[in-house]
Amino acid sequence: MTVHDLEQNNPNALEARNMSVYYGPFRAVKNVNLAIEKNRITALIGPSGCGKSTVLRSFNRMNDLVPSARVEGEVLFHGENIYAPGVDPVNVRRRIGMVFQKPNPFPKSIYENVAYGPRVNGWRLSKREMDELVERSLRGAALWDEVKDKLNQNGLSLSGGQQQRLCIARALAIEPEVILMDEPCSALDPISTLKIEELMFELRRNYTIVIVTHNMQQASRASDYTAFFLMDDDRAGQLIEYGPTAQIFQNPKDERTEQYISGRFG
Amino acid sequence: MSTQERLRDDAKEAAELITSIADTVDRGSGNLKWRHFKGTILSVLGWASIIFGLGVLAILIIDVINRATGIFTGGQNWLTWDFFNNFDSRFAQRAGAQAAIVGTLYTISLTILFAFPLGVAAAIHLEEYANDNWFTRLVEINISNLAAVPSIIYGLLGLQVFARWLMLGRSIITGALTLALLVVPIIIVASRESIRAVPLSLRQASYALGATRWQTTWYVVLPQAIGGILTGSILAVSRAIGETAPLITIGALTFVPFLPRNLFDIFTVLPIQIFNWTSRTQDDFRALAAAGIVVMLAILLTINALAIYLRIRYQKRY
Repeated sequence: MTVHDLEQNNPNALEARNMSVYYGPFRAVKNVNLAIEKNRITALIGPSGCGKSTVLRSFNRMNDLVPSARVEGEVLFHGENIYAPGVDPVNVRRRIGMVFQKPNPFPKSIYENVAYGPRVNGWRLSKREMDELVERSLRGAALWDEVKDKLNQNGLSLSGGQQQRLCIARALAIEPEVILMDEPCSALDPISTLKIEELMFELRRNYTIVIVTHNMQQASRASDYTAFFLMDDDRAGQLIEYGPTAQIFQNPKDERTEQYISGRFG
Repeated sequence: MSTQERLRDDAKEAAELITSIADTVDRGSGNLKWRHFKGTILSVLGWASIIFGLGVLAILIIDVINRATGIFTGGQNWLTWDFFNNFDSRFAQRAGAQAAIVGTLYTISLTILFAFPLGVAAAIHLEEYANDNWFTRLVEINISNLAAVPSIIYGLLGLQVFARWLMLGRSIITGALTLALLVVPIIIVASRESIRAVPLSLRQASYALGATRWQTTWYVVLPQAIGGILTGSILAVSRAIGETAPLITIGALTFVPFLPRNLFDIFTVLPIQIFNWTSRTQDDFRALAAAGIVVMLAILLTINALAIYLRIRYQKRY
């Protein structure tokens, strides 16, 4: 069996092994072991401050941008630790995309927003190839029909929900394998939220999605797996329970999970 | 107690309650007239300050224009073609500001050329690259302090370093380098402000798409910040245009009856020329000084207009 075959057989897109994240001396997340299955939607839930966003941001080394942040343990991507010395975070982020809580399109045209990723990654595309890539990405984010006649308009002229789908299109353009979503719907109205959730189901065919959400209904209806995080006594977040979403919501093993999903705290 | 009595009691109680509530409300807005009056005083004072400031400025400008052109009270118009075409002279009727105008344009262009890239690059480094440690903080504090150092100190520095050690003499290049030293801290401070104002979320978006730090700075941060950077830089350069002290210190001349042949030639600038003319005894030279001031103001306004134009243009693009 070659390395390639091994990789094909690996059901996991990402795997955190004994991962702890520190901000300065403060340990924000401790000893997380979490395997993210390929082509599935995994939801990270838990009360505010439980470290779920920190875990998400550790999956594509966005925490590197916080000067005091430090990660211990391993995050395996294709069997390789993305925190190993010699791994370039720029390359990691190209392959593991991210969508943020608040829509953050660049103050450039819709077209340029989508074309930004391919450009900075040095893809040499002809005008026609780029046009096609922009169209494909916008279609992938279910936005094409709404913006095809105004690709030169500023991305900020779109509605909040459209802006968020533009951000998804922008992430799709660089053909990542995993898309991390940090509460992507918390700033959106219910209809836009529904659209994004439908979109996630579409994207699942080609991508692996990890989503942080505050909204437990969202986690229960839009994810395959759910990971429940909670702060312990020293305020470090830890993984309490992880499993298929149906099991977590209907038949949780841990008492704290049961209390949280039934709305008794959080 | 009959039902009627009870009802009457209830009504009485309710009325008392309402009165007491009304009393409370009344107590809460006492002195209302006096408080409004205080507000009026403040806004009148504010208006008076604005009118005083603008009024003094208007009188100055009208007076200067009048002295230069005689447009309001009659008299000789000194702002003629000759004024731009002639060199300085011992005779007011033959004196012009050509050497000073050209000297100012050369000096200021070179100052921009030296100071702008240096200041913006330093600001980018401090905001986007430098780690937050004691050294960075030391540099930051000192840059802010440098922006407040009297300009004559820069003149002394320029005299020693550029004119003597680097043997550039009393040249345009010495003047421009000295003025560049003077404005670089201001450009750094202004540029840092506008770089810092670029939302973190845009940087994150760029990094998350696999952009490097430099690409993020170049394609996302700078286009957003360039309007503010240009405005701040041009205000700094406007200050340099009016500077006299550091250029006198490095030995710019007051009487230059020729155009500079190259950047290493001796030179003069408008504020020095104006200063020189005002110190002459003949009234005609004072009129010439007024004409020089009008020209200098025109150059300043042109540069400011350019700043506004560039800012609007860049804001439209992004």
